[in-house]
Amino acid sequence: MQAETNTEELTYLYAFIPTDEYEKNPFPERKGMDPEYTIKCLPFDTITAVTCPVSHQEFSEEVLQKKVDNMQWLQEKAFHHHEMMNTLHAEYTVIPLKFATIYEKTDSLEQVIEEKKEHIHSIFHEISNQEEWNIKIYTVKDEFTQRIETYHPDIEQKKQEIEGLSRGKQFFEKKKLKELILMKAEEEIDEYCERIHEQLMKWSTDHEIKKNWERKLTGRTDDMCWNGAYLLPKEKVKSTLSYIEEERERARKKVFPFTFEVTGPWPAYHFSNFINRGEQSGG
Amino acid sequence: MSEPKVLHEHQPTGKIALDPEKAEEGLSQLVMTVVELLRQLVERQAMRRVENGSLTEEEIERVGEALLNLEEKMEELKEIFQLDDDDLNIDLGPLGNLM
Repeated sequence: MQAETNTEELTYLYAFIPTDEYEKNPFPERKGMDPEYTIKCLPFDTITAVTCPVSHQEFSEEVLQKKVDNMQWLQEKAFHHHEMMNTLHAEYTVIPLKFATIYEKTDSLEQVIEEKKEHIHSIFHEISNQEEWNIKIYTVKDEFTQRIETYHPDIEQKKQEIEGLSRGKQFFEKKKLKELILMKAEEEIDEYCERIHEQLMKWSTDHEIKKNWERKLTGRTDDMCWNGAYLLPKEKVKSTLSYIEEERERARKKVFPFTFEVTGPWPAYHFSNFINRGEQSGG
Repeated sequence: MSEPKVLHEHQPTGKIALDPEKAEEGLSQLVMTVVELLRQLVERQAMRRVENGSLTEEEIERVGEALLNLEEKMEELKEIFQLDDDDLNIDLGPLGNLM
């Protein structure tokens, strides 16, 4: 964000929505990111920018850099942004913008929209009547590995072979076996998740495989082994969720248990990135 | 080595406790961490040599037995100092864990 100190108000940009949808269903009055102001929808021809004026004293680049260290402030504002996206998504086809996308002047916002008009329209077209769903799969990797060690036929055979070796050789072979067990466990976990993913791809129009989060991020006692975002046509959501429910049931009965975490519907956060980070700064 | 004191129950933090009041505990944890790091490095080097065939059968037996004894000794020491595997690791932040 670039902001000049002589500007009184800046423009916080939440999202883009199609003007025809906005005209049919105007957005009700609501407090904005800066509670001193209300949400303002600015139609620029066929594209409407959902914005809120924010004060320069509170949201200039220099002030924001300090404020992001204030966890309470950040949490409150990020939550507001997130809530706004969900509200917009419930009513319109929405291209969500990243938190803290701020323009110095509406003229520059208009210029960006003009430049990116075709791309914005193509994203509207791609995400129209679609929902983003996030699907995460978890298992306790340590337990999974222990069970592989106990039940896998290859491992059992290898163990018997090692028993017949001398003490020194056993040391190295046991180390290799430990690596083999870890590898087999990873392979089986990957195979399981890939199988689910293959099925989900049949219903989704787009997907993004994300990095698995560590336990300290999830706060859970099991390990994330799949983290995918799927763009689903609304009419496919029901069958997708039923499939996950069936898999959830099957997984409960397995020797190697997997658990599913399904969240959605979300605005198409992962499928509507029309401006890269550098360009997104207001100018 | 002097008789180790009974240490308090603690949760692994991935950090070495160098509290001045508990310097002895922190120091033993630090020393054990360094020894464990060296032990693992030696073990990996030996494993590489076994796998690339640069050791004779007799050497493999000798090195394997030595490493096994070292591993057993480390387990004993961990029990004496009431440390577990997580205690002998250091959280290097964005670089991940030491071991």
